[in-house]
Amino acid sequence: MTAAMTSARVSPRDRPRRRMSGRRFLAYAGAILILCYALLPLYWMVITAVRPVSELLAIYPSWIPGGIQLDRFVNIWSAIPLASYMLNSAIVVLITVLIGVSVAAIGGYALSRFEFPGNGLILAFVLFTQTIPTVVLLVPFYTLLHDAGLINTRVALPISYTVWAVPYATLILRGYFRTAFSRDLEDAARVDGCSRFGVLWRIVFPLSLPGLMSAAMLIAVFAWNEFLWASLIASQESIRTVSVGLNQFVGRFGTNENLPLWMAGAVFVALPPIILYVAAQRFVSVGYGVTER
Amino acid sequence: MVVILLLCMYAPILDAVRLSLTDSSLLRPGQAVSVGLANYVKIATSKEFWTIAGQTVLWAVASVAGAAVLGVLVAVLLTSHRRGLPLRGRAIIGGLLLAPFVAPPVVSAYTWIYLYSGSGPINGLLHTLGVAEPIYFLGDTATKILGVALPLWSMIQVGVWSGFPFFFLMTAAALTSIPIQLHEAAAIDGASAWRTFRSITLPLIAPVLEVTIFLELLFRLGGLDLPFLLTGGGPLNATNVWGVYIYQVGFARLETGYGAALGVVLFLICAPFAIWYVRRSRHQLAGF
Repeated sequence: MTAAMTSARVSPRDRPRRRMSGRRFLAYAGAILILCYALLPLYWMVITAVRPVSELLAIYPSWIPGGIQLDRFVNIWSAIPLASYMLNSAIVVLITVLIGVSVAAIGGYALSRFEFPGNGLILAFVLFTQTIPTVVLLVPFYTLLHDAGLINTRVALPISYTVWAVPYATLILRGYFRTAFSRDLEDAARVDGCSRFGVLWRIVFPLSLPGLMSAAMLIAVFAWNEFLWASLIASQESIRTVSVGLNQFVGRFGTNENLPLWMAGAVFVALPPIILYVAAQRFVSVGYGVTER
Repeated sequence: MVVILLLCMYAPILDAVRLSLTDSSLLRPGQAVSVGLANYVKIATSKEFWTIAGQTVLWAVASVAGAAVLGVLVAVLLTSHRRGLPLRGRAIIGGLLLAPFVAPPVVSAYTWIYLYSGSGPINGLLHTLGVAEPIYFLGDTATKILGVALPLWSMIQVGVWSGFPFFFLMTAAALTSIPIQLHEAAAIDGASAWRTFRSITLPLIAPVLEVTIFLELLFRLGGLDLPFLLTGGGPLNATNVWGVYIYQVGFARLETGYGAALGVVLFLICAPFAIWYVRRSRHQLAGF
C-alpha cells in the first residue's frame, strides 16, 4: 500500500526522466549541433571582423582567432556611408510598417467581421497574391514605376514594399482577429455606445497587439533585408539601403586586407533583424496562425 | 483601399501578359511592337531555358526537402523533452536558430562565399582532415554528384541552411499544441520513438507542414536574392535558376518582353498550386 502510493506520487516526473537521460542527452547534443550549423556563417562573420589581417593572409584561416581588434567596428562608419544607409533603410522600414500594418489592420478586420457580398471573393484574391512569385512582377512593376517617373526617388521603395506587405499582413491579421478573442467584447462596447471606429481603436487593436507586432516584425525584416528590387529602383547613393550599400562595397573590399572591415559592416547590418527575432520570437509564429499554448 | 492595393498587385500581372506579347526592350522605350506568341515559342525551343528550368526545380525541391527534414528534426529534439529544458534556455536556442532565416541575404551570401572559397575555412578543415587539394565549391563544374555539378549542390546547401529555421518555427509551434497525453499513451504501449513520430507526431503536424512546404517552395521558385548574390547564375549557367534568369533577361539584356514572358510562364506553373492553397485556406478558420 505505501509502496504503491509512493510510486504513484513519484512516477510522473522522475521515472521517465531517469530512464530517458541518455536519450535526452542525445537530443540536446543534436540540437546544439544544429545550432552550431545555423550560426557557423555568423561566427565567421564576427571572428573575421575582429582578427588581425596577418591571419587572413594565411592560406587557411584558423577556426579560432589569434587576436582581437575592435577598431574595424569604428572605422567602417567612416569607410562607407553606413550611417546614411542605415537611416535610409530605417525610413523605408518605418513607412512600410506604418502604412502596411494600419491598412492591413482595417482590411483584415473588415474581412474577419463583416459579411458583405464579395467578401469571400476578395479574400480569395488577397490569398492569391501571396502565391504570385515576386519575380513575376519584376519586369512589369519596373516599367510601371519607370513610366510614373518614380525610379530612384525616395517613395519608390516604400510604395513597392507596401504593395507587397498589405495583402500579406491582411491575411495574418484577419486570421488573428478571427481567433484571438471573442466578438462579444466588441458587441458589448457597441451596446454601451461606442462607435465602430471606437471599437477598433479601444477594443480590437489593444487586444490584438501580439498579432500587430507579428505582422510589423515580418514586414520590417523583409523591408530591411530586401536586396534585388532595391538595387534596381533605388541605386542612387543618397537613398541607398543597407543591403545595396553593403553589396556595393564587396567589390572594393574584396581583398583580404579589407575583408574585416566589410565583415564589421555586415555585423551592423545583420544585427537588427537577428536581435528583433531573438527578443520577440514568441510573436513570430502568431503571424502564421500557429499559436503556442 | 484594399481593392486599390489589389489593383496594384494584379495590374502588373496583366501588364506582364501584355508585355510578353511584344518585343519590348528597355533600350527602345515606347517602341514595342506586337510579336504575338513569338516570345513563348522562343522559350519552348530554348535549350538554355530548359536547363535552367530543370535546375530551378532541383534547387527548389532539394533545398525545401533538406530544410523540412532538418527543421522538423530540431523542432522535435527541442520540444519532445521540453519538460527538462528550462523555458528560458529553449527560447534563447529557438531565437538563435532563427538567425539564418532573418539574416540579410547580402550578409549570408557573402559569408558563405568566403566559407566556400578555395583557401577558406571549410577547405582549411578538409585540409586538416587529409584532403590534399582544395575544393572549389562554387566554381568546380567538372565535379558532378548524381549528374549535377557541384556548385548547384553548394547553393542548395545554403538554401537548406537559410530555409530550415522557418520549418523549425512552424513545426515547433504546432508540436507544443499536441496534448502530452498522446505521447504518454504511446510510451505506455511501448511504441518506439520512430513509430511514435510516424503515427502521432507527423499526422498532427501535417497540416502546418503542408502549408510551410508550399510557402517555401514558392519562395524558392520565385525568390532570387540568395542565388543572385551567391553565384549570379554562374559559372556558365551551372547554378542559374528561373528568378535570376528573368532578372538577367529583363535587366541585363534589357529584353523586357521576353523577361515578362518568362515570368508569365512561371506564374502559370505556380497557379494550380496557388488555387489549391486558396481553396484550402478558405475552409480553415485561421487565415493561413
